Amino acid sequence: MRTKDLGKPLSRAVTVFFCSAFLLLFLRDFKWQGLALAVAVPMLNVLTTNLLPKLFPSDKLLLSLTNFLCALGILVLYDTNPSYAYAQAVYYFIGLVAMVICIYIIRLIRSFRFLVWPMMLAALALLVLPLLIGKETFGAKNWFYVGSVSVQPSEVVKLVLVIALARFMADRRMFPWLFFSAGCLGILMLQKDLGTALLYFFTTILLFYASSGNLALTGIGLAAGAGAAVAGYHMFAHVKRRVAIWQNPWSDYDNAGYQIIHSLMAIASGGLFGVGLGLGSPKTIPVYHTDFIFSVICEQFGLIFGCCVLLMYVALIWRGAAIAMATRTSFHGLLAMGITILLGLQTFVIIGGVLKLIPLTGVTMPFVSYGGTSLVSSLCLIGLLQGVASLNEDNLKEDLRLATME
Amino acid sequence: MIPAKEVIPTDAKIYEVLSLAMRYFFAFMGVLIVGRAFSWLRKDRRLKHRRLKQLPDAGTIGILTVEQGSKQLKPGEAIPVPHEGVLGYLRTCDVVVPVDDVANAHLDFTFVDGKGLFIYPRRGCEASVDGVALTSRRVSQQYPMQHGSTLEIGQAVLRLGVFAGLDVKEAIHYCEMPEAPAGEACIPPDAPPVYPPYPPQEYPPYPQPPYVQPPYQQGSDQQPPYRQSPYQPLNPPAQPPYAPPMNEPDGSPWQGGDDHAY
Amino acid sequence: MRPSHCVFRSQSVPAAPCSFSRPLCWEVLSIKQQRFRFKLLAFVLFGLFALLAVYGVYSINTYGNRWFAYARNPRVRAQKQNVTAGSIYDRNGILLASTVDGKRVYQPDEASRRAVVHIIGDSEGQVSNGVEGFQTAYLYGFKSSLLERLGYLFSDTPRRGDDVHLSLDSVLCTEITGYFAANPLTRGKNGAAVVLNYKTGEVIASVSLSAFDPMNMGSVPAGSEVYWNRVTQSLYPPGSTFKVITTAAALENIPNITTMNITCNGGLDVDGQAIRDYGNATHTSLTLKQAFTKSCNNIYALLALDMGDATLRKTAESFGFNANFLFRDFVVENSVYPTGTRSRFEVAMSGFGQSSIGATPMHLCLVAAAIANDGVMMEPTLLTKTTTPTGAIRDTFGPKVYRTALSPQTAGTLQQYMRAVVTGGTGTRASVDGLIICGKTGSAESSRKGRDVTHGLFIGYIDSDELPYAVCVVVEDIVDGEGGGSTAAPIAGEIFKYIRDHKESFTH
Repeated sequence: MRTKDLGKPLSRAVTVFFCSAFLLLFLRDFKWQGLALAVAVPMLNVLTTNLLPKLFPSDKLLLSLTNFLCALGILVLYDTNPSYAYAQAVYYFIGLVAMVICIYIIRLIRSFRFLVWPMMLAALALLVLPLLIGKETFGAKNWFYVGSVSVQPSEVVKLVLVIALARFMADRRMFPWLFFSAGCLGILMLQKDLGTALLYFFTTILLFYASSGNLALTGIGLAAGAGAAVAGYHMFAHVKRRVAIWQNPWSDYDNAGYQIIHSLMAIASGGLFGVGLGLGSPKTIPVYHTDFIFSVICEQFGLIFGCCVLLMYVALIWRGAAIAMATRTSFHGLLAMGITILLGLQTFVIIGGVLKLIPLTGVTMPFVSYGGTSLVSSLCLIGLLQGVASLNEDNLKEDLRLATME
Repeated sequence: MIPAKEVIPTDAKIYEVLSLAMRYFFAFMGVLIVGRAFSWLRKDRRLKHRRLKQLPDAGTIGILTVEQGSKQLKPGEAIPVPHEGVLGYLRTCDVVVPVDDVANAHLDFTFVDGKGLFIYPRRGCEASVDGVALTSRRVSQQYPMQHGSTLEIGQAVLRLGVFAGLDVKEAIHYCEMPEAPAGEACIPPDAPPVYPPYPPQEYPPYPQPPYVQPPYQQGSDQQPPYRQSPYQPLNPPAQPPYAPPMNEPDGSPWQGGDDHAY
Repeated sequence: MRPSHCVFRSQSVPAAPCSFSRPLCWEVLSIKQQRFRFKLLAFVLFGLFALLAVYGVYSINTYGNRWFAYARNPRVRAQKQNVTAGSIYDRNGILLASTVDGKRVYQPDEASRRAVVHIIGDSEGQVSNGVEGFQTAYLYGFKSSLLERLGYLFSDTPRRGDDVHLSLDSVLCTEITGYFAANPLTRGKNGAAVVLNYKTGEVIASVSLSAFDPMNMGSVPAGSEVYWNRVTQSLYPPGSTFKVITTAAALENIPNITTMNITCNGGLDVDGQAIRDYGNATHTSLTLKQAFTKSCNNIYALLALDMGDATLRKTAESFGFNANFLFRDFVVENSVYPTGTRSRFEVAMSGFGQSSIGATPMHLCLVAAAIANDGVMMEPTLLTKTTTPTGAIRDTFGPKVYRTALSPQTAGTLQQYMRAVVTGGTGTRASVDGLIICGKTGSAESSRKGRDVTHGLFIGYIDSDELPYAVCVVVEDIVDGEGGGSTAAPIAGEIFKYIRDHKESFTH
C-alpha cells in the first residue's frame, strides 16, 4: 500500500529542509558538528523510512512525521544550545531502538491480559519513587536521578496507562482501570505535576467515551474533574498563582509573569517569517529547551512555520485515528486511539500554555522538547501505534491472500 | 546608550543577511512539507478505500447462515460476522438478527484464531451452541462455535461458516492431491486475479501453525477443514473484479460436511 | 486471520464482556459504533488544534506590536547595540529626537523637551509606550528590507533605523505648558491636555504634567509619578463631562425629552444619601438643554435613575467605555463603567460621572470628537509617515474609523447643547472670537492618598470644517470652590486661540 512513490516527495522535502538548515547553522560558527548533523539527521530519516518497512509492514507516513518532529527538535536545540542537541540526538537514536522494540512487543504479545497486571504495579511503584527520592523543580516533584541521568516516571507510565486503559476497556471492565487511573492521578497530584495529571485525566475520560459511548458517565467524570480542579484551585496556592499569571501576566512581569511574557515577546518578535535561524535571542526565553520550545520555533521560523508544525501534529492525529479505525479488535483500536489522544492533548496543553490560551502547565512538547525520558517514551508510544498499524496491515494482507486463493 | 559602532565582524553580517534571506525559504519549505504530508495522507486514504472495495470481506471472520429465521430474516440468508461485537435485534448491533425472542442486544461474541467464536449471552438471555446451553462464563469458554456449529437464540437457528483463522494453503494442497476423490476438486487455482495497486505477494512461508487440525480424512466424522467461504452477499450488486464464478449449490465442489444450506 | 509469527498466541479464551455477573462493567450496543466515536474524537482534537492556530494568529495580529515593543524585549535591546536609531519629526518638520554620535539627543530647549517628553518617550524606556519605545520596529530598523540589509553589507556606515514623522505640533505642546503656568489657578498643578483632529483622528498635541527633562534624568528616581503619561495612562472620574453621555442616552431612550420640563429642587435623596448640586445651587424647572448648560447634578441623577443602569452603561459602552482600546499608535488605558449590580445611589451618581467611572483624557477627547464628527469616533493616530534612512517613504498611515458612538441626530442635538455651554453656561471662558466653540465643563471628585480632591475638566471642539479640532484639558487637584469652567476651560480657550492664529499650520 505505502509504495515508495507516495513517500518520496515528503522525504525529499524534509531532507532538503534539514540539510539547508544545519548547513546554515554551520556557517554561523564553522563547527564540524553542524556539518555532521546536516548529514546525519536527514540520513537517519531516510534510513528509518527505508529499513523499518523491510522488517515488518510499518506505517511510513507515521514514521516520517515523527522523524520530522524529532529532527526539528534537534535543529532548534542545536540552534540554541548545541550540547542539548547532541544529547537529544543520542536519545533520538535510543528512542528509535525502543520504538522498534515496542513494535515487536505489540506484534508478539497479543492480549496483555496477564502482563498488564505486573505492568500496572510496576508503574505505580515507579510513579511513587520521585516522592521518596526525587527533587523538586519548578514547584513539581516529578523526577529523580539514576546515576547522572534524570528520569521522569510519569512519562514512562504513559505507556502503561494506554495499554491498561485499552486492555480493560476492551473487556468493558470498570474497576481495574478506574483504580489505576485514580491512583496515578493521586500520585501526580501529590507530586504537584498538574500538567501530566490533566493529561492522564482527559485521556482516560475521552478513551472511556470512545469505548463505551456512555455520555452520562463521561459527563459525570468531567464534572468530577472540574470539581477537583476547582477544589485544587482553592486548596493549592501554586494553582491559584498559575491561573492568576495566565489571566494577567503583565501585572507581575519581573517574577510570576516572566516566563509567559518572554514567550509572547519571542513569538511576537518572530512575526510571520521569523527573525532568521540563528539570529534573535531565543536564549532569553526561560526554559527555552523544554516547555517553551514552540516559542523558539515561532521566533526563529515565524508564525507560518509554527502553524505548519501544528499541522504536522494534526496529520499525526489523523493518522493515529485512521489506524485506530482500521483495527479489528477493540483492544488494538483503543490502544491506538489512546495513544493518539494522549499525544494530541499533550501538544495542545503545552502549545496552548505557551500561547497563553490556557494556564501554563509543565508538560513537554512531544518529540520536539529536550528531554530523554520524554522523547523515548513518545517514540515508544509511536512504536505501539506502529505495531497496531503493522497488525492492521498483516490482517489486510491475510484477507487479500484468502481472497486471491479462491 | 551604547554607542552604535561597528562591533559586528563582517562574516557575522553576512550570516545575518543569509539567514534573513533563508527564512523565506524555510517558511516555504514548511508549507511544502505540510502540503506533501497531507497529500500523502489523502492519496493513502484513497488507496486504502480502493483496496477495501476489492475486499468486501475484509474485517469479517465468516458468516452466520440463517437456518430458521423470520419474515425479515429468511432462511438461507447470510450475515457477515466481524471479529467481535454484539448480536441482537436492534439495527445498531454488529450482527442484526431480527427474529422473535431475540433481545435487543442478545449476546457478545469474540473470535479467537484457532479456537473459534466465543459466545457470551447477556444477562437474561439464552443461547446454545450445538445444543449446549451457555449458562455461565465457563461453559461459554468451553464451547466456542466452530465452523459449522449452530447457534440457537430465541427462535433463530444460525450456522457459522468461518473463512478466517486457518491456513488455506493447506486446504488447497489437500485438494490438489491426486488421490482426492472426484468431485473434491477445488476451485480452479488458475487465473488468480491481478491487483494493480497491490504489491506482489512475497510473504515468508508460514510455519505450520500449532492449531491446524489433522488432515481431513474422507469418511471420518471429523470436522472438515475450513475452506474459503462461498459466502455471497445478499443481492450481490456487481460481481467483484476478482471473484471467480460462484458455484451454484448443486454444483458445489464441497461435498463433505453438512452445510447443504449453501 | 492471525499471522503465524505471533508466538505468544492468545493464551486464554477471551474474558466475557460484561456478562455472567461481573461487577461494575458496562454494556455496549455495538462495537462498530466505536469507530465513529474514534472519528468524533479525532475531530475534537482537530478542533482543539484549530482553536490553537486561530487564537495564536489572532493574538499575534492584535497584540503582537505591543508585545514586541515591550520595553523588556531583549531583541530590541540587542538591536540597539548595532543600529543607530532613526529620528523623530513633528508636523512642521521640527526635529524632536535624533541620534548624534551614538547618543540620543532631544530638542535643544528644555521647556520644549519637557512638553513632549511623555508622548515621545525617553531612550531609557522609563515612559512606557512613548514613540521611542512603541515604534522601535521603525526606529531600530526592524522593518528594513533584505535589499537594504544587503546594501549595508558592502558599506562601512553603521546601520540606521527609519525616521518617524508625527502629526504632533511640538510648539503647541510647549505653549500648553505655558498656559498652565500663566493662570494662577493652574500654575504648578498636575494635569493633562490633548488636542486631536476629529475628522482624521490625528493627535496634534498631548501634554502631561508634571514632566521631566529626558536629557537630564538622573534627578528623577525610576518608577516616579512624573514618568506617567496622564493623557493615556491615568483614569480620571469624568465628572460633569460624562453628562454628555447621559444626555446622549436620554435623547435616545426617553421620548420627548427635549421638550420636557424637569424640576430640580436643589437636592435629592436617594436611599438616604443626599445628592447636592455644585455649590448647593438650586434651580427650578429646567429643560434638558438648560440642565446641560447649567450642569445640574440633580436632574442628571434623576435621568440616570429614570433610564436605569443598563441603559446608561449601554450608551457609555457605545462611546468606548469598557472596550479594549487597541489603537495602532497609542496604548490607552481602558475606560471603566462599572458592571455588575449597583445601588441606586451609585446609579444616580453615574448620571454625572462619579462612582467608579473612569476615563483617560484621551478617551474624553475622543468622546468630544465623536460628537463633533456627527457620531463617528475616529481612531487617534500619531504617525503620519515613516521614511527610510535614504529618505524614501516606508509607510504612510491614513485615518481609520474606530467606532460609531451615536446617531447623527443625537450628535446634532448635543452639538447645540455644547454650544450653549460655551455661549451662556459654565464654559464661557473657553469661547474665542472668530470661532464657534462647543464644550462641556466638569468638576470631578476623587480621593487621592486619603484626601478628597477635585479635578477640573473641559472637553470641547471647534465647530468648523477648516479647523476640526477637539480638545480635552484636565487640571488635577484644583482649589476648593473652583471648577472646570474656571481652570480647564481657559486653557482650552488659549489652545483654540493658538489654533486660530496658526491656521495655516493646521489646515493642511
